[in-house]
Amino acid sequence: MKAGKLVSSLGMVSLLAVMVACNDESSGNNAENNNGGNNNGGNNDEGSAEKANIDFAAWGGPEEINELQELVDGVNEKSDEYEINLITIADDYPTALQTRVAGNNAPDIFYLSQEWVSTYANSDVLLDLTEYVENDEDLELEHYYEDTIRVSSYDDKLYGLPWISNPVILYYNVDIFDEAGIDYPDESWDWDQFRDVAKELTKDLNDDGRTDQWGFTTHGWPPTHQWIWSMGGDVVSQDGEVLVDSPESIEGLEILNSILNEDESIPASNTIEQQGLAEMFKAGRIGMFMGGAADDLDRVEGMNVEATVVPKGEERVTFNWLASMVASADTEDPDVTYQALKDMTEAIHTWKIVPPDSRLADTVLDIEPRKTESAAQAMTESMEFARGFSGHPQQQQIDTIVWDHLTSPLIEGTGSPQELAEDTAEQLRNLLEQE
Amino acid sequence: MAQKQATSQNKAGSRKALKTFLNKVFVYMALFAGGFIFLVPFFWMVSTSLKDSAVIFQFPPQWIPDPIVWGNYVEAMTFAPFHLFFANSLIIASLSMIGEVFTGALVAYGFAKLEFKGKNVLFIIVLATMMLPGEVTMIPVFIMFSSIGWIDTFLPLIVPSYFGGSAFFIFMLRQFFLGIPNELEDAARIDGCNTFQIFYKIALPLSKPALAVVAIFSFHGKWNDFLGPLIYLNSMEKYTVQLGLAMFQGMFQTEWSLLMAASIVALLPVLLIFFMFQKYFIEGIKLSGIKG
Amino acid sequence: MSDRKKVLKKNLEGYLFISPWILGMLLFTVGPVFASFYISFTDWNTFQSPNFVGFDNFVELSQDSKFWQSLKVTFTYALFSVPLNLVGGLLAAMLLNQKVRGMKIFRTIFYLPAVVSGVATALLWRWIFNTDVGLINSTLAKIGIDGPNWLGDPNFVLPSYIIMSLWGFGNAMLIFLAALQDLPKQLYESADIDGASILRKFWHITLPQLSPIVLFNLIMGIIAAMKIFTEAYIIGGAGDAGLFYMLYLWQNAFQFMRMGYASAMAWVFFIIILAITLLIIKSSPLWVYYEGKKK
Repeated sequence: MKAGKLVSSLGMVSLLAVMVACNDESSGNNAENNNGGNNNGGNNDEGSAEKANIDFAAWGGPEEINELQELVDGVNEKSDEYEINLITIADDYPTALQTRVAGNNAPDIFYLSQEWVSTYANSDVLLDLTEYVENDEDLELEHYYEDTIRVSSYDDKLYGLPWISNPVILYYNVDIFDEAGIDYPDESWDWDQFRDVAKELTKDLNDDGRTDQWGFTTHGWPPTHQWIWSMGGDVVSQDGEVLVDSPESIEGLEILNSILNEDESIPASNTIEQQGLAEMFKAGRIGMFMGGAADDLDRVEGMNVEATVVPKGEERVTFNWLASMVASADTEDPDVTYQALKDMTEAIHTWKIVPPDSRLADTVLDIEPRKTESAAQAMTESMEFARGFSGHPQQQQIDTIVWDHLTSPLIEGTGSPQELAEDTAEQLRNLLEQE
Repeated sequence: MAQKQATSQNKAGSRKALKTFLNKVFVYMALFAGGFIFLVPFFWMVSTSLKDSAVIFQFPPQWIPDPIVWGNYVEAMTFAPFHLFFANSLIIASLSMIGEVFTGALVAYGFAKLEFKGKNVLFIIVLATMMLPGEVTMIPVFIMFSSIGWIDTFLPLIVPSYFGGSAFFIFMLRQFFLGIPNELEDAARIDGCNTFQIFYKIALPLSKPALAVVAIFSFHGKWNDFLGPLIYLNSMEKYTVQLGLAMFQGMFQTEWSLLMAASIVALLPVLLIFFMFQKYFIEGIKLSGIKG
Repeated sequence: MSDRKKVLKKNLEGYLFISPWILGMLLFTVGPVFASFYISFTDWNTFQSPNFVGFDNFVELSQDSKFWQSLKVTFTYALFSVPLNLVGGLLAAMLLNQKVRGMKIFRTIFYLPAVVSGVATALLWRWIFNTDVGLINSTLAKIGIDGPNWLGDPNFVLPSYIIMSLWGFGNAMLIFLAALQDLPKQLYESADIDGASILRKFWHITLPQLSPIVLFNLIMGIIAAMKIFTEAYIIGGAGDAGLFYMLYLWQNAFQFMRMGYASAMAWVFFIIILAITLLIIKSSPLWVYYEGKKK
């Protein structure tokens, strides 16, 4: 609606008046005009039992989209209140979504990854779900992993239900370990042990003077937070305090810096850029890899891969890649929309790993039978201590600063952790003080 | 005296023949050198598209893949309904091309050959429309098209082409039309042609190479357009080839062989159009008889 | 017909010819352009109603080091890539205009780079510029030169992009090629009789005859170079050294949701390009020669 106000204030009215003449709109909301497409004929009649149209925007590859469409069909069949209409966005989801929301054409419900939730919520474009959830006897939030709910909230209000969580776990190539006669990693490992083994696994197998097997690999992934958090630090705290130059954070950065620039246990930066981070692991040239739970690292043909939780520092923590299902504040009938959002999210929990609902902890292998048992177990375990970003309305600016001033120079080896952390902290403070 | 002249003429003749010969040799050398430079990257693309993913990063790289995996093309094309995407892209690109060529030429002719009040200012405005970055008008344009219910249709991608096409084409064709001698038009006017007839029967046929360029560029531009389809199309069955490729990239970030296979198939129609319109690059159409 | 009527008819005819553009302008362009102009004086984050902030965005721009950096990067890039493309395109077009066998094939090959786009180009360049196994560095290695880290070293980012820009010379080339088809052969024939050298013919016939197209390619080349975005977006490159204007504008508009600020950037850009274009057009009577205007 705000965008509508904008339009009129911009002197476009005269222009639009010409065009709107051929458009018999009665309500201000145009989203409803565009649903035609796939629906069965009955929906467009003005019958009394008409189902509400719910536009649902999602990302995904073609196969995923087809599977999701089946889920949507299933949910639609069970409901006589609404009909969900799937909108797919091929690529560059944030830009495409932002344009639709700004253009007064917001989907009723949509995927939103964690780094955008606070930004959207802060701009009042998301439906506040707090009361709906409180009044809903069927939905018990306490079954969700706590941190996934935190990431879906902003300013003590709940704006979404998490539909997927992807904690980082440690995959390892069993054959490489066997060959070197080293014990497999397990949950007792800390960073020192991890680094030692990574160094031991780095070898020149064919004696041509070039290293062709590495113990580990990292190149901006997992996020630098992984190391900072594990030593008890943070980049920006949940209430907006810049902590990236705290002693704890710097301790974490020292570990990452050693891995990147001292240990020589990872491939050179441009080798990784050329050959792909995960691809090198899949090609059997990397001993250990920190990957997301949904990655297909453990099902490479002819390769023996198992997984465990990531090494611990001062704390046991791992990065969690999360996305939530949220609703537009502009949606016509919030009650129905909430119902659709909830039903759709719960349906997705039976389709995507890891479901953020602790009651479904045992279902990982049912959902994704191609996962190995050790990986499934590592994921479920990791969910207990996995953590998403702090969530700040300016998360994008924060991430850009962290990448430009911290992660990227660390990778290139152009500064000490202390210097880089201080520079980053200064930039972040400037940004956050501006408000 | 006469003899001497004859021999010198002979000499001049053979010198000329030698000169033409050397000229040809030089031209071929330059063509082959340039061709080589431009073919190497393309050859690499084709070679990559036929590689097994295991050998793709081998060093030194294999130029002729072993084994040759034709299946990459099958896999790339069956991963999504690419036949639909191709059909959609073809519809959008060809309908836009027709609009951009014809209305672009009409407007350009007006700016090049007709006199009217405010022409120069209006022409500067034409140019100015190219200078404001589209990123900041994107949302207002989206609001406009959504308010008339054009979202998830091809209309926002096609209709604007029928309103003068792009400023690029107007400017370009104007420059070409300006090169047409006025005598030609005067003669036609004396024969009783009206302005539109002169445009249609004289200016257009004389500008075939330029119109062919516009057709190629227009098709190429629409075929490769990514942002337009991304924000206006909602359902997968309406996707264009570029959106298909983008999905592909999202899925197989580093499956270079599949990505290359898909990209090569996607550029074939543009090459085909180029080949088709190349025949209009024939020299000297407009000069027959009028000049000299 | 009276003179006034004649003028009226002439005007009407002119407007009729350009009417598709006028209509399109009114329908699709004017509104959004005014909207963005207004937005540049607001703090619009694209979601909430904009607040009018006067010249704040422009003042902030003048103090934003990233803005100046992006301007510098973009200008440097344009300064090198535009002339290179212009000269390269013209030379290639003249080469492709020779009458030898198999020219159709050669033309297609020379145009090939312009057709390859998007992801494929990005992958291609990453391979060409790769420090260890890339095309350039492995060729350099053969003659004993240790090639640089092209896209990673801030000193080499801009040269890399300038080399990349040459890849797109096919478009200028094609337009020159079309224009070469129109050159009056008689002029060359009479020059041949006078025994003029190739260079002389180029300087006194080809170049003046092509000058309207040179003007076109120059202006379009400048606009395109200043608007470089896709390559920078897909390939990226060593932080601020590869921060092009459009990239920073896009970041503000869609990543940081500062559409007001981005719009201010867009209008500053507009003014700069407009000034350059007007300057070139004003100078054009000195060097551009129009056949049709010859009296």
